[in-house]
Amino acid sequence: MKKKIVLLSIIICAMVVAFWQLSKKPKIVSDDSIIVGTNPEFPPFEFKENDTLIGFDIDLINLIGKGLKKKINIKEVSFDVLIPATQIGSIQIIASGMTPTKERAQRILFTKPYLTSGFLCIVTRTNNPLETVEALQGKEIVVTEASTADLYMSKIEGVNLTRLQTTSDCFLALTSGRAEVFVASKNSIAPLFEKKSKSDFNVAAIPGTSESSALGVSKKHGELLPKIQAVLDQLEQDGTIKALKEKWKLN
Amino acid sequence: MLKIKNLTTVFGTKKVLDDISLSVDKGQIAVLLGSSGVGKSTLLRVLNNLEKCGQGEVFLDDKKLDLTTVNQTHTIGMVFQNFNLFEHLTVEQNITLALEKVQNMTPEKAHDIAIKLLTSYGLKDKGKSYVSQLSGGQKQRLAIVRTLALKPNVICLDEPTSALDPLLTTYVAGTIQELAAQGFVVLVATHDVMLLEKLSCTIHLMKDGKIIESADSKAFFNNREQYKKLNDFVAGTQEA
Amino acid sequence: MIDFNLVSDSLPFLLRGALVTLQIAGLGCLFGITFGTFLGLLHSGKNKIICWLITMYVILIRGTPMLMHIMFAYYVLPQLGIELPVFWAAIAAISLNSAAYVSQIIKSGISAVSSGQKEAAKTLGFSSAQIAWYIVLPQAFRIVLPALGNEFITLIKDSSLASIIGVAELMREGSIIKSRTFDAISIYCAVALIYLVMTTTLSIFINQLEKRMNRHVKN
Repeated sequence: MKKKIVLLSIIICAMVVAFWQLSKKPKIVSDDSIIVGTNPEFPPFEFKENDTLIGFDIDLINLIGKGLKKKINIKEVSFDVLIPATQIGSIQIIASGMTPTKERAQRILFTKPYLTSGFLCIVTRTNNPLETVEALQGKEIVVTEASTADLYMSKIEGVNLTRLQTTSDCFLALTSGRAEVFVASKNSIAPLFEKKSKSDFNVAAIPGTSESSALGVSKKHGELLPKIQAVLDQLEQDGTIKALKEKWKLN
Repeated sequence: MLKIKNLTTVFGTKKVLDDISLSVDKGQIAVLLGSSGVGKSTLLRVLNNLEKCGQGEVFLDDKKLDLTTVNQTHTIGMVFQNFNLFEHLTVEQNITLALEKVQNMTPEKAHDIAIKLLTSYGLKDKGKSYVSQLSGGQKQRLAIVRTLALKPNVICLDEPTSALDPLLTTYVAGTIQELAAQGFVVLVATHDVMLLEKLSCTIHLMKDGKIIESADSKAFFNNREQYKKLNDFVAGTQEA
Repeated sequence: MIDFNLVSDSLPFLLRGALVTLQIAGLGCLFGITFGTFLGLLHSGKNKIICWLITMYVILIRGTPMLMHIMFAYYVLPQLGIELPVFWAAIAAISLNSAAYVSQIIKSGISAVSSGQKEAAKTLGFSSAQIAWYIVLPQAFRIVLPALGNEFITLIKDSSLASIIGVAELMREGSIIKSRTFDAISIYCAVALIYLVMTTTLSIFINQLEKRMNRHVKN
């Protein structure tokens, strides 16, 4: 008898959980909404504060939604899942501070970059400062995977490059001594130094570099691209994008 | 009456049972005697559909038996050498499980039958105990009771004394004699001569899958020299 | 080193993630054990083709990382027309993964149940299905309960892999907070502690369960 009670309660629990999860509306592609994929681990572009998703890209995509008169449904995934998911169409737009590259453009469509400033920086500890790309030869360098810094440093020979998942992970590598150098865009490390003291670190800009971010669009929903671009152009013209950049302290 | 006619069973190329024929009446005990490997356990297993029959026929009261249905019809029952009791069930459940699930009895009726049988075999207070809490002798009684509950016509006992203390042999013999008295056809496979001495039965000596000599037990023990092969076997065992 | 203020502020979100972790591990375990028992029973049977198929399945699953199974469930299923919400994709992958391991655990449990009992049950008239359900499985389960319990605890830890496809379980909640605050140590210590509490509580519970189930079975 006891065994039956236990078994029954397990099954009831399982069914409760199942129904609860099933009742969460899945994000499906429909005519009046757009599914946007993002990885909220990249301040100030997209991150979560008190469980609310905020950031430059979030504000931007909401404005675009308004412009297209469609509801925006944001799907949070890990960064390397973004492109494959967009390829199969379960995500229609990527708003995740993504840098357009030739390889990526083979798999998804990109808008024109909405951000092409904010040079790359070399971040080192004050007790071991390095200021030029030449000085990086033979050093242990860490970059955020698939960021503009990653793409830039990958082309440089003679460095020991490690790619980590997020800015935060890279910072930890630098402070713990596992890496000597952290190369990142100025925009992505600005929030870092709002939280951590700058005095222990040395930041040197790499001249002639810039970070560029664009929105990704699924090839399966290619008709959206010109429409999105049109809205982007409009927002650029009427100064909205400039205001957003100021709001999020991007340059 | 159980009649076995020309039963032959082959394992691979070896004839483990070779043209076996014997009859056992209701209330009679037939003892299959022999050393290990002669085929006595195999015969019991074939009768219980645990091994494929091969050739030959088996009759119960002149009706031919299909050995493949013998389990479901509960015509023949088996008490195993190692008892093979259900360790995860209580003593009572060992009996009622088959009654409820195979014979579709109500739990109440099954309970009544179980209690009656347990009482008549001295296990009345052990109903809620588990198998591991029983002594060897009690386990055997439970194994017998479990088979009895299904009311078979024939009861087979495979080496009933081998797993028990030799001091219990008299008790086991008494139990087997009791079964015969209740009207069952009783078949016993054994090499234990001490058990043999205490049973009133028909002895069938087996070797290499054949029955090589048969005798009534009283007649044999009164005049052993007349049954040379039996005598050799019994003497050989006693020497050892 | 550890920012306790941050930890206490983050606790509600981390605990919410832990609840999802338990759901994933729980449902994954439930489906895994059900399917795994079925496979284990079949694998203990006599049909050579079925045995071979199951062996192939087990080799495939055990020979590839669970991370891959989760990715497969996420990417490949939609290509085949099955679009599952992320939570269920993770459960599907974890269940199929778990079933492979459980089938071998159950199979060993079944073989540990003496064949004599199966024979006795046969002579009493039980069908093969009845023998499996009433005689073999109850005892097999009792024997392998420690291994099954281990499997559940392993799933609690492995469920963290579901974070890769975006399931909001404990690891991912921690990761998101860490990305905003740049304080990996405090957050990961809190996350580790929560995992530890879950796995330890479960271990104790399973231990107790084992003791109760075996109190009348002497070995």
